[in-house]
Formats: sequence, C-alpha cells, structure tokens
Amino acid sequence: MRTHRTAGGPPALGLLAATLALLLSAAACTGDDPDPRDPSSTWSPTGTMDLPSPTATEPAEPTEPVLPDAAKQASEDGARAFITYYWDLINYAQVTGDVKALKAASGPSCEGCLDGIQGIRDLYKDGGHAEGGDYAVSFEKVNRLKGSSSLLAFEALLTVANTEQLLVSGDGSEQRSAAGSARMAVATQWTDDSWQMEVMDPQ
Amino acid sequence: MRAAVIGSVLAILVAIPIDMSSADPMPDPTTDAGVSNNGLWVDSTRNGDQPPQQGWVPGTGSAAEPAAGGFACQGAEQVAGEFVDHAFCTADRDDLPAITAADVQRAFAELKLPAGTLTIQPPDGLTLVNFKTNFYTTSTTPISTSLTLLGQQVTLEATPASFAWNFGDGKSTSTTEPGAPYPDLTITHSYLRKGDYLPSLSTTYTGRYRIATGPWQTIPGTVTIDGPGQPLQAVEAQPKLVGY
Repeated sequence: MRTHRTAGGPPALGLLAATLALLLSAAACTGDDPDPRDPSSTWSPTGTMDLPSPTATEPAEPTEPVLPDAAKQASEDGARAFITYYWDLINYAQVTGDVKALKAASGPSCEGCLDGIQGIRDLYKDGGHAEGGDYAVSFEKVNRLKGSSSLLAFEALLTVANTEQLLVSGDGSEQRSAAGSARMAVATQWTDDSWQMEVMDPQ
Repeated sequence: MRAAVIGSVLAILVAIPIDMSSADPMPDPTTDAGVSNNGLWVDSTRNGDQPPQQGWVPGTGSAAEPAAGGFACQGAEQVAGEFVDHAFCTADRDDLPAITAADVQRAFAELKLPAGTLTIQPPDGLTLVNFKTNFYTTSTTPISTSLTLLGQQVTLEATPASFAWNFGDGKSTSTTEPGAPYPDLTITHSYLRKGDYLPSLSTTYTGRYRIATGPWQTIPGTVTIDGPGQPLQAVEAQPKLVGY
C-alpha cells in the first residue's frame, strides 16, 4: 500500500513542484537560500516573474544635492536656482543630520540659517533624527536689492510647503507634525563667485 | 523529503507576509499637540516661538556660530528691500583694500572737531585779582560722524578726554574733569595782578571707530583742538564807603 500511494503521487507532486518553483523564484530574488535540508532540490530559478524592486518599497537613501549649473550664474535666474538648491540642502540635512553643505551655502551673518542649522544639529547630536518633512518651494516674488555697485543680491518671498514630519529625539520620544506651509523671506548674495544665503526669516 | 518540501513552502508563505509588514517605516503618530506644522527647519528659524511640548525643542540650542556683526567683515552695506533689511558684507574680499588703523588715524586727525566751550565765572569778562575765578566747559558729549574710507563706510566717535586750561597769565593746568558751574568750584584760578588776559581751553579727544557694523576699535593717538581766547579783565577791588 505504501508503494501504491507512492506510485499515485507524481501528479500531486508535480503541482506542488510548480507552486514551489514559483515561490522559490520569489525566494531567490529576495536572497533566501533554498532549504539546505533537501539535497534533491536542484531546480534552478529561471522564471521571469517580476517582483517589486526592493528600492520601490524601502525609502531611498538620501543623497546630497549637487549645486546645479544654473545656480552658478550671477543673475536672477541663478539666484532662483540657488534658493531652490538651498532648500534641497535643507531637506537633505533634515533627514541625515549632515549640515556641512548647508553651512557652506550660508553666509556668516544669516542668523535664520544658523538657527536652522543649529536646530538640526541639536536634534542629531543627542542621537535623534527626523523623517519626512520635505519642503517644496514656490516663489511669490523676487526683487534685486538696490545697493552699491559691488552688491549683487536678491530677496525673495517664498511659500514653503512641508510634508508630514516625524521627529525622534535621542531618548526615543517622538513628535509628529502635520503637513503645512509657511512664508519665508530670504535673500541671497553673490559673493566670491558663488551665491550665499544671507537672510532666512519666517514671515 | 516531501515533508521537507512542504516545510519549505510553509516557511516561505509565512516569511513573505512578515517581510511585507515590516515595509512601513512610519510608526503611528504619538502626538501633535503643541507642535507647529512647519517642520524642523522653519520652526528652528523661528527660534523657539512655538516649541513642541516634549523632548527636543527646535531652535533653543546655544548658537555655536557668531551672531551678525561678530564675524570678520571689513565693510557692510545696510540694504532694505521689500521683504528684508540686512547688512550685506561687501568689503571682506580681495577686491577691496583693508582699512588700517593708520588710515583711520589720519582721517581722525583731519576731522573738524569743535573746540570746547569755555565758561568763566564771574561772567561778562570781568573778575577780581586774588579771587577764585571759576572755569568750566559743557562740551563733554562724544561726537559721532560717518565717512567713507577706501569705499567703505566708517563711523568715528570722538570723546573729549582731557582739557588744558590756559589762563592767559602764563599759568595753565590740565584735567580730565570738565569743571563745574558755581558753587561747585573744581577748576579755579586766581589772577595775582590786574590786567587783561585771554584765557582759553584746549580739548583733547580720544577716538574709536567701526567699519560698517563691525566691532568698535580704538583709534591710536589723540586730537587736540585749541579754543579761542576769551577776553578777561582782572581788576582790583577798591574799598568804598557807602552811606545808607
């Protein structure tokens, strides 16, 4: 009887093997090893089943924004591009704690910039971090500031819309803020062949 | 073997839901109360206007960076726009020459500083021999002026620091006190002989300067301004009999 039951097994085993093949292909794509307890499992994954890319389901590692060529121009368009780049740096620094580039793009007298940088430093220095909270910038108005001939500076009134943000402090306590928006007055100055943020004032 | 295969399938079937459930990186909200909705950066730039209720508070850390004006800027330009009003540093670069203390000292020496006002009591240019004639000045207020040096705005401040009282009879004295009106006699002189004199006051100023909104720095040296002589007649009091 035992022999008969074994002889009647192949169709069932075939179905099972097909299921296994499908699942193993999924397992292979995610890096799981075949069960080592089954030495006869010599099936090689050759299927073409598409699984969601791991990068599509996991948050991408933030990369430091690169100063665009447009932001290297001593013009209003250059100033606009720089301001946008600066907010990209803010977004990057918020979720990484890396404020080096942000500080380099900030003028030494930009108190709002320094306050913002200090806020990020304070959060990260005790082991805290931030998630989300990306700012999207839209320009309401841009003016060239009138000064001496050696001054090239633009002011801008911005609306910055931020996404929901989670702040996790070093002791593990969490604070979540909803999406919102704020108006910011900024000014940038062309100094030593590059733009620097000089004013960062919430309105 | 079949049991092993089934075991593998079950293990995979169990493993997949577990992997999927761990894909959500955002835990449930813990609190919103008291938290601004403008995010970490904007809240930090507000410098603690609306701090969250617990744990870390944005913008309240001690500022590790120098405040505005505390950095090395040789010249700044105050510019007011529609949205901002800011001192832009325009002169800490190679294209503008640095202002030296000697430059400022030269400018300080050329300043048109006023001579101190000399007041003599008794008034009206008449005093008595062997009488404590009182001298004082009210010119004690620092004088501030702005000028442009090497294309940069420089503010000079001159303060009367010492006074040389020349009494016109060959005697003089120097004080840091400006003297005081009667009856507080602090600077007096007694003329020994009758005659006409031209007492005068020389005021010595010390100075300090700042480039744009930078820190104040002392100007080396002093500037002395000699005031004009004031006619003063010293007379002898003569006894007279007066009948009532």
